[in-house]
Amino acid sequence: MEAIFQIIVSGLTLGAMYALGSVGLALTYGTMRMFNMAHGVFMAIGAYGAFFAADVLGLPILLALLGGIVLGGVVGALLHLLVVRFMLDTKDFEINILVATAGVGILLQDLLLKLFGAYPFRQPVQIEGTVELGGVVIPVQSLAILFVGFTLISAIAWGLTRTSFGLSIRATAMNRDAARLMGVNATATYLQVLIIAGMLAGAAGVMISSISTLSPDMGTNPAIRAFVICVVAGLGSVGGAGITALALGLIEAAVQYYIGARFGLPLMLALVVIVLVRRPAGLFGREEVVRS
Amino acid sequence: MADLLSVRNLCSGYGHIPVLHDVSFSLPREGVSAIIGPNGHGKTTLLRTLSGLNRSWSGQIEFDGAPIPQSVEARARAGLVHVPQGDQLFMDMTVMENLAMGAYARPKGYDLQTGFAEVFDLFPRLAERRQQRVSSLSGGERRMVGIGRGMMAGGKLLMIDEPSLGLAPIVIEQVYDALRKLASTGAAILVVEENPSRIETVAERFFLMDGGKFEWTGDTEALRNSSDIVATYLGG
Repeated sequence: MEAIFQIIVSGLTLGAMYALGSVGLALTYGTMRMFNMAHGVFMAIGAYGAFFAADVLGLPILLALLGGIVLGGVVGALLHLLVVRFMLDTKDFEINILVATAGVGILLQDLLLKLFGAYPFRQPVQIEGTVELGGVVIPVQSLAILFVGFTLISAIAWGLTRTSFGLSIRATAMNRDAARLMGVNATATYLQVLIIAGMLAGAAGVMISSISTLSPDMGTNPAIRAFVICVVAGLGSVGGAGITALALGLIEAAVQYYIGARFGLPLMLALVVIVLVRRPAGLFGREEVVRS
Repeated sequence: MADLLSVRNLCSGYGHIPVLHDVSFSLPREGVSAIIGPNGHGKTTLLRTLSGLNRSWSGQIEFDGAPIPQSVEARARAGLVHVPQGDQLFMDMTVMENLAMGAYARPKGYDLQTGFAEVFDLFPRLAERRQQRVSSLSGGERRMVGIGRGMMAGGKLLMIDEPSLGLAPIVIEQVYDALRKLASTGAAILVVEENPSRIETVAERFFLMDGGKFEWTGDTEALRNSSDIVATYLGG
């Protein structure tokens, strides 16, 4: 019983982090067919931003967390203004942007390395200590991750489904020309989407670094997971990405507990292969039906 | 009062292939006008160029007394509403959400319920389907959502591309009944339709497009008296 509880708590914690990491990626792809290869570096930038705010500037951790999130959003905005904007209507945008963002990612990662070095700093933006819940000892930071993850994801879900701003994002994702005919400025929508994705990635980075350490390439593994989650969910399915992230977090926690920590990722990837063999469009994706 | 829409020597096309050749015409602030003519001669291209989806190569467009803005979204905000061919709905949204998107460019305090009421009054079927995703609707119902979405914008000119395309005759009747009701409110409407017999009782002004230019223009009476011209271009 305690084992199950332990698995659920650490699974949900993992899942909340994965969801933070993958929902922004899914939103970007779903809205503008853009796979952001720099997404992992966005996470690292958010983590270093929070670290800098707390350690160097001495801000309280809540403000530092906010700083990391905002910095992620700023980098997202810059990516749009300096790169994406000029490529939007080019032929083969999907491939071009993949290569371009991969380049941006390398640049930004090296910039982090130059600024902070490779020393594995400890993330100061975290809450020390443990609590005992139902006979299980849980780090307070796990609860903080759960709280931050669910708050941000619920806010995004609410915004996308209940506001006119969210409606315009979904409309642009479904049919860009039609959305423009309704008066939606698609370019501005893309900017907003990249800001949101950057903020989510920044938050994910702070959370991930709080249970490991900081390093310029800390986003690589989480980004691979985020890509995998998006593919399993069905490319561009935002809600699907959130649900898949939670499910994979729980499965990984169970595998780590019963089989061993190092089998977590391999078994997750095996599961992914099985899912994709059975459902090539992903769990929540739809086969594209071409109508003549 | 000045014309609502005034087009001078408009040229446009796709890639390097010209489609529209020096199209000039103007529309008053009220009433239904129709662009008729055979398929593949530029009717849809004209609407797309007016709404900005296609770039205009040369020529002037004046809308509501001023040169028309550049971007698609700015034109929509100026009150030029385009109900495109094939509906182009937001397929994963409900009927209500699609209609709400139609009113996106309206000023903040606009009460969506007023617009919903007007659309549901014209298309009672949509009221029953309001919570359904449009991907689950029939072709005729989708067309109604498309026109309803255009109505929600409350624009100055409603351009509807082939409202009868791909529909069964009985459904076409329903759609045209709705257009007739809409026309009776005095709204300015521009309809593209291949077949003049369907539109002839609704519209009061006709433009016959062939080879990317208007070959003939006239009112309902002139159209009836010119059956030979129409037959030349459209057969039958």
